[in-house]
Parts: sequence; structure tokens; C-alpha cells
Amino acid sequence: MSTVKEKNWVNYYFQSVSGIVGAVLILLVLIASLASAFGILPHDPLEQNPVDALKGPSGTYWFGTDQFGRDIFSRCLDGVRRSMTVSITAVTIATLVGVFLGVVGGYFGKALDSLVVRLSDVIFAFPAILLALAIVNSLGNSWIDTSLAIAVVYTPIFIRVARGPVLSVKEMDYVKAVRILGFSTPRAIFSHVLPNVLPPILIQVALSLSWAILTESGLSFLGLGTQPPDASLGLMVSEAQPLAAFAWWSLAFPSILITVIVIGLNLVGDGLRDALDPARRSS
Amino acid sequence: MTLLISEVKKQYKGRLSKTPINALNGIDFTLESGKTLGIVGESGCGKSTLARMIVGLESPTSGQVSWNGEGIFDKTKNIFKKKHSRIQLVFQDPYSSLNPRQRIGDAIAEVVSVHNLRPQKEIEGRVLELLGEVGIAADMRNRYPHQLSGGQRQRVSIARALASEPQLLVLDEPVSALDVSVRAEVMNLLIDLREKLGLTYIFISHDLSMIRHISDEIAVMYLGKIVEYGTWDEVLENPLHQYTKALIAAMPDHTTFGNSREYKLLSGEVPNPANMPTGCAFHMRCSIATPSCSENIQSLRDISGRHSVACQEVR
Repeated sequence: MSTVKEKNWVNYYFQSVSGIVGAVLILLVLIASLASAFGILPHDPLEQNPVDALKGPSGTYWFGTDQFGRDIFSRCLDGVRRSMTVSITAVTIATLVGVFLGVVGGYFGKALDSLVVRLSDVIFAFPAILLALAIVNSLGNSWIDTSLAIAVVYTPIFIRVARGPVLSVKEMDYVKAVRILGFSTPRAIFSHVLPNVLPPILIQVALSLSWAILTESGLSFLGLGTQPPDASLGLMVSEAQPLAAFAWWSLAFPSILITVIVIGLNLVGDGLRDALDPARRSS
Repeated sequence: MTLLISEVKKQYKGRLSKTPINALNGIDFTLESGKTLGIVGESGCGKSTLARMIVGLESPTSGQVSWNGEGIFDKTKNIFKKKHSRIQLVFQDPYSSLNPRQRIGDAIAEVVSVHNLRPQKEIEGRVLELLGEVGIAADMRNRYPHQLSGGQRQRVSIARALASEPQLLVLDEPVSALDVSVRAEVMNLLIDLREKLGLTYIFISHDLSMIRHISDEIAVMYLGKIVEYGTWDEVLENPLHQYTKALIAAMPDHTTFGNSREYKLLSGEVPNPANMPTGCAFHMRCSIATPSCSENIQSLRDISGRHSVACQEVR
């Protein structure tokens, strides 16, 4: 049997315009994060240079400088790295825990399901930022504490997003067929239920990554999260608010970066959804 | 090998209401291997509950179901959990019975490989063989279900069921969701497969004309009970129960046109299974009912050879 070379979902992903644009934007953001991680920056993001304070964008300072004369371009790259690290860590934890609990609760039902739903209701009952504040306050201010706090706040969203579709998919004839065929429960869940509930989860991951960046900046603004003089995109935006009237660049560049990341992640989510759903693929 | 169903009852408890729904009210029959049993009855009579029970999706509230001497619901050796099942089900709706994210060939290969029915190297050949058996071309092996028509999907469902090398196939209205034009093709395929593979069928339908093409024996169900049982020619040529007579009278007939034929429609509605009538469940709609019909519960009794009926008025 000779078969035509099979296209996998990666091929389909790169057929969609939004997928390509999103991937390019996120790739740029990741390169920026890596550059900062390896210290390849035009200036030290923490170095104060009072003589050059509040200078507009120029050949030396591409994005201008802030009120302490620190290079905004370097601080932006450093902020992107910090924000992305916290956001990716938090959302990874929330996704793994939330999807596991949601799928297991939805699939097995009964007492286990009630427990999972009550648990997520309890967390939902708190305003997100308040709960995150409480957790950061009790854990500490390091990036891993901030990530954990955001993960706890976002886990119930993933429980809900995973559980709902599981409730309908598990009643489908093809899942019953799997039981009649004598397949194991893990196989039923991972090969037959999970792939069919994945699209909303993926979109939720992309959205949550961008929300997590905003939550992280909220925490930083309130003095928890990232601590000055370190840079994070959210902290930079809040620090730049009083300066915006006469130093637009101090507010504009971090804001633009947040926007680019959020749009990029959403486009990646759209591209993934289309690529992973055989019925949406255009041949 | 025999399918043995004895005294099977199934009640569903409502979450809020205290009165249970009686889906099956004592089903008894045996089916010899190689035979095809057709089960007819209207919506809600318990046909599908019975089908789901035979394949192990539902457990009976009381009674026994066994295949080949092995109880399907023996706690110690649930034949559906320990090894691959010799009883398979073909679903009514071909649009929800295949995983939309699985290539049809992979769905079949999965069955063969999970149960180690072929060495790894031979699995792909087996997949193409099975597809060929149900009339699906080998080049469609990598299609997704949404790329197939309803008839093709139903063929794939049949192939997937056959992949586990079943002895008994429960067909739950396998053609009622299909276009009339492909019904005959799928019916003929099922008949061919039965001959070729020596399968035993339980064919469930609400359509007597489909049943008579394929069945050796027919069971007529009404409200969770079998009211008449016999060989198909006996039951169709010489129906004994008033309900069977009404079903046969409602069959469209191609030899008469227009209004020249009289349809004797039943009066009344099917009783609520949560509030079962006393005595014979059919007595309110029956034209030959006597006062004692509302008192005496009827069960199947033999009239001749392989023909039995649950009606006290039939002698």
C-alpha cells in the first residue's frame, strides 16, 4: 500500500493566516524573552542614568528612557521575560490541574464530581485579585509564588471549561462503543473523550495566558508580584501612568507589548482550534 | 452458544419522583447461535434498553443475561471488563457512533491492537480487509467520519464491531437513520456478513418490513414485555396478539393504492411506564379484552411449536 504523505495538524496550522501571524508575534516575544534571559540587552535594565531621564526614543535609547533614565527598551524585554515566565508557569499549572479535575469529575460523576464542582465554586466565590493577593501575601513575592497564586485563581476556570464538554461527550455513542469494545477507562478518557473537549480548553489556555499577564501586572501595581526596581510589563504601565502626559513613550511601549502578546496568543489559539478540528480543516 | 435472557427487569429511578420507570417488565427468551431474532415495538417499549443490557451498558434490576453460559453481569468475571467482548452493538445514529477526531482506519486498528487480535505487522492488512468486507474502498482508510456519508459511516461502524471478532451482533435500528436508497444495501450487507462469518444477530426495529427481511424469529414488545414470539412467518402470517395484528395492519402495502385499504388504527395511548396498568398492559386498547384482563398479568405461553403469545383470550 502506498499512501500519500499524511498531513499532520502542524501542516494545517500553518495554512491559517491567523495561525501564522500569531506564531510570528509569539516567536518575537519569546526571542525577546530569551535575549533578556541571556543578558543580550543594549543597556542594563536596572542602571539609572539621571542625566538622560525622560528622553524620547532615539538611536541610543530606542524606546526612550523613564524618570530615572533607565532604558525602556531593555526594561521592556526584561519585563516581557518576567511576565511570560509567570504567565506560562501559572497557566500550565492551572491547565494541568483544572483539566484533570474537570475531566475526571465530569467523566465519573457522582460524589467526585460534586466535590470538584464545590471546590471550584469556593474559589470562584472570591474576587480573583483578592484571592491572588491573599495567596501572594502568605507565600511571598518571588515569581514562583506569584505563579502559584495566579494558578490557584485560574484553576476553576479550567475545571469548568473541561467538565462541561465532558458531560456531553461521555454520552455520545462513540464513547459507549469504546466501553462495549472493552477498552480501558484511561483509554476511553485520553483517546476518545479528551481529544473531543480540547478546542475550548486550547482557546482558554491562550486567553488565560494573556489574562495572567494582566493579573500579574495588577499584583505588581498593588506592590505584591514583581518588586521595583525589577521590570514587568504591568509594573511599567502603572509606573508610567503619571508620566504619560509628557513622556508618552514610557506608557506606550509596554502597553503595545502587552497588546501584541495578548493578540498573538489569541491568534495562536484560533489557529490551534482550526488545526486540531478535522471538520474545520479546509482541504 | 446461546443467548439466555431470563426474568429480566429494569427499573429507572427518577431523581425527583419516587415512582420508578419500568423499562423492562420481565423478559424471557433464548436465542440459538446462527439465528437472527428481530425485536419490534414502538418507541419507548424497551427495545433499546434491552439492547444496551445485552452488550453490558446497563445492568438489569433483576434477572439473568448470559451468553455461552457466561453471565454478562456476574460480578466476579464481567466478560466486558476482563477480555474483549464477543457481543457487539451497532448503533442507530451513524453520526454519533464514530469518534470525529479519529480516522476510520485508526478506529478499526485500535480495536485489533488493544485486544491483540493480530500481530503488530498484520494490523494494517486486517483493517483493509475489514473495510473491504463492509464495502469501503481501501483509499478511504484515512478519512475522518465527517468526510463520509451516513451509509458509509454505518458500514464503518459495522466494520469496527466486526474488528473485535464478535459472535453476537446487536443491531439497534441500524438502518432507520439512513436514506431509503441505502437501507437495502446495508441490509443486504448485514445478511451477507451473517452467512460469511456465521454471526448471530439481534435486529431491533420499529419497522416490520425491515425485520422480515433478516429475521428467523420475531419478538413483539409492548411496554417492556414480549407479547408475542415466534418464527417470522408464523407471527406475520398468523398473528395472535391484538397488538401484533395492529402493527401488521399499519404496515404500508405496495399492492394497494390510495385509500382502498383500511388501516385499523389502535385507539388510545401507550400507558405511562411510571404508572403501569394492572393486569395485561394492553387491555385498555385491546378490542377483545374482557373484564378479567385488567386483573390477570399475562406471560408468554406456547400455542404451537415456536409460537407463543401473552394473551389469555387466545386459545
